[in-house]
Amino acid sequence: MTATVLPRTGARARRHRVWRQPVVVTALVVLAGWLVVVASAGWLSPYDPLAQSADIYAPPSAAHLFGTDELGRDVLSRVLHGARLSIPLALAIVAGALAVGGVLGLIAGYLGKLADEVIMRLTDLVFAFPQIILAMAVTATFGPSAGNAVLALIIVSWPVYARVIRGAVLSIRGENYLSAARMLGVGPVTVLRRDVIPNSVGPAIVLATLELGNAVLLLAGLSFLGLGPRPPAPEWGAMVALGANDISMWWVSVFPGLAILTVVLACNILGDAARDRFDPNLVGGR
Amino acid sequence: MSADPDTDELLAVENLAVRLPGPDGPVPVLEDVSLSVRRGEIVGIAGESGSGKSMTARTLLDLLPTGAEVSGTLRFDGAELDHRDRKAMHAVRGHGIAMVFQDPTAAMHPMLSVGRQLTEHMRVHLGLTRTQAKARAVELLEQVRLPDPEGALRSYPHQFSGGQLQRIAIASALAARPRLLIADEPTTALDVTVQAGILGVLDSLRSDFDLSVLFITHDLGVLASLASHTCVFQHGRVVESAPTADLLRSPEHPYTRALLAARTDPAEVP
Amino acid sequence: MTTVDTGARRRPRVPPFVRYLARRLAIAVGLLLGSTLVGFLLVQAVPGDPVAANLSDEALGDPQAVAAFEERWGLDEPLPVQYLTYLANLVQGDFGMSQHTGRPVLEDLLDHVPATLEIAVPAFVLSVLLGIAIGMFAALRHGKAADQAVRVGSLLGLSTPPFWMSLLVLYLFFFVLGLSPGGGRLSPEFSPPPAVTGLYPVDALLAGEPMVAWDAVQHAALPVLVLTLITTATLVRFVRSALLEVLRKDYITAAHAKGLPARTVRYRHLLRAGLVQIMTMAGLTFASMLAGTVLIESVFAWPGVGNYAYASASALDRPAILGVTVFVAAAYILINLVVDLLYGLADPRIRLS
Repeated sequence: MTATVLPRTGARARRHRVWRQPVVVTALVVLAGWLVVVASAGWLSPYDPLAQSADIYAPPSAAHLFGTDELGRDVLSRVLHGARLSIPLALAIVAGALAVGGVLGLIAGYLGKLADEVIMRLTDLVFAFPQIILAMAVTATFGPSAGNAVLALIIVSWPVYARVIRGAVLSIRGENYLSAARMLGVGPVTVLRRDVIPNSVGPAIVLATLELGNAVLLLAGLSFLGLGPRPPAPEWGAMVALGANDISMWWVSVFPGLAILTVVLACNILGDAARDRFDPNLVGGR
Repeated sequence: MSADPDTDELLAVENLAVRLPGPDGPVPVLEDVSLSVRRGEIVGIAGESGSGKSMTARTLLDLLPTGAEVSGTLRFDGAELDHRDRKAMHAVRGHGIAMVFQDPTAAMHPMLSVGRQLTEHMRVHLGLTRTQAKARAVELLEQVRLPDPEGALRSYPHQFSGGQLQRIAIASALAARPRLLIADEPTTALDVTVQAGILGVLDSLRSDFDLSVLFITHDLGVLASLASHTCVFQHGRVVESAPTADLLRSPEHPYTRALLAARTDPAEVP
Repeated sequence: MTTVDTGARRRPRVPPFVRYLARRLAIAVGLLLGSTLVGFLLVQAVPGDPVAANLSDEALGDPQAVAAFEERWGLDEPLPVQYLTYLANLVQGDFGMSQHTGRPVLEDLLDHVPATLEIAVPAFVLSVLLGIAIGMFAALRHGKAADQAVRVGSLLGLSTPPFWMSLLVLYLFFFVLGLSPGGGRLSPEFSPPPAVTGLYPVDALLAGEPMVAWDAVQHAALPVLVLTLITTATLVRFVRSALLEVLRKDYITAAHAKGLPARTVRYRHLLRAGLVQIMTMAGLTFASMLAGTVLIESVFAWPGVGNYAYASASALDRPAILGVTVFVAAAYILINLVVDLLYGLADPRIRLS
């Protein structure tokens, strides 16, 4: 049956190329666009995102492309400034979770035995909670703020990284060169730096891309619950929540929601493509 | 090996070429393959992995991946095999041509009972009732010399050893009374000690059922006592085709000689 | 098969399936204890005075209430004793007092469970059916345009904030089209049917009030729709990849080689092989729906567990939030336990090995 394997992977590779082309390029463009917004929200925005005016609940018009909210604030300016808040915070969540999960995953995979057992049971425990619920409990405990939201989301999302990195370490640990390196008396730090970490980078990148979208979504969820950055900060989830006060004023929530959707969708598409490209067997995310 | 107008002829493959879709356009996997099998005959196909032996078997049963391009003539039991005629192909599969796979543990469904897997195609092809099919399944399991056939029907594949599973797979292949059995390396995945048993079962079934067998292997030596005719495959082509005895005694193609030489080497071809 | 049952012969006393059950049960109990520990640690982690953080202002002014709180939590005891006290309280159903309702948290939660089930159960059934149908449709067309469309569509579903989708459908069906009666479980002109199951449509039918039942169904339609869309997206992706995995197996090729009708291969062989995994995932999904409702129910003013969690979060009602957290985690763990047991029953390799 080996004969069929070769051509089949070929066919699959071609499909992946097709998959990557238009959809993935669009996703890249969208994300790049948002990064530009993050960098230049200040002078892209027509108004001060916090400035209130008498012109409340103005529908989209030439003066206010996305309309105004219940305090007469310009929704477009708030959406643009929201990127400045949501995207860096999501990146911080991913970086933090990657750092915590990465280190614990390396320890679990490299040391094995008791350390592995303890860390893996810890991941099981965190997985026993739905993410948004645990994040809610943590932020509520420490008090709602941007920092605590980030902290809470790191706490709920590190286990995925730990498992994937541990898996990557275990797969190299099984290979001969690692034990050879050990026999040659190379110290564990050197082995980690030279063999283990470079080999964990691929899975880590795939996972981080997939999880970036998840981080944006969870952060928006926490803010929607009132547990994110404090008002009047223009956080997207909190802005959508404002729209719930009067659903007939659709523009108040539609535009920030679209912002969340486009960022998350772009991340998910890129994450999917990255998974196909680097590691078709990685069952990352959830 | 062009087909002679032999009334005994069961299967004739002429100028078969297969191309599979690849990343840079179609990739040829079989080119100009011709072979024939007479009724009651065992024909061997030898070659290394990737030489196109399994691909030939899959082409006969139309089990190629989607997008495969097939040209050439396939004639079975006096009629042309037309892959586009789905109904006819369904009738041929299992009923006309049956197949035994290399790894019996992978080729049996892990969650369906052995009884179910032995009888489901019997009922489709032969129109048997549940009781009739069950009785026949017991008979078949006896013929492949499996102990406790009744109990086996209620069991699941993981409860058997590889050798036992391969016997069950052979029984399943024969269940719908095929004329031709394709055995794709049926002993490769098995212990050396059980190989001989499987080969014995195959040979005795051939005479009992008046069955033709297309025996695919990478081990020319296995064919010596089994196949009357052997085709050697390399890179998707038939490089040599002759009566097995002649082929073993005086191999003409260098690749055949290499295969024979490899056989004396205890190391397995990967 | 005397020659094969070596596994059973080695340990003749305890059947493997029983051992499997025992192990699953032990894991579930361990996780339950762990989740209560998390709950406990979060109470301890509250910055500042836990008494102030966990009692309403009203209760704080009452020395008796403060003393009762300290007594209940064993606040002057060492931490491990405090944890045991907390655990003992939990086992007795004492999840603490909600600050914003002034009632025991567990009582509040139990009041809200039926409403959540009323939308979660139909959404679950719908999304499992849709997820299997669409996932299988895509897997059988792997790489073709239809498959890509499904793939992008399911990513879209996963990427849409649930609360935003809720607002959109409410705006569309209630405000623009007028097809939905709006938020809540019943229109104001109806009163809730006598509680039997706690599910309004069922109870209303039992009480012989079809109009009330129909009104309740109309109210549930939109939250069910949103929950279904989001859950289906997850399931489609999972079913698709699980079935693609199965499609590569030899036994599927073997089933085709036997000349079985394509339909038989599809439903008996392919689906049967993927079903165990799909079932596991479906169980996880049901559990995570409880969390999903947190971001949906408040938009529809749907008085379920999610709405309670939302209200507790908005009010920073810590005992209520922790109660919800431990409660949902427990439900999550128990559902997973049930799934594991079903898994064992469905897979002959576990059931009989």
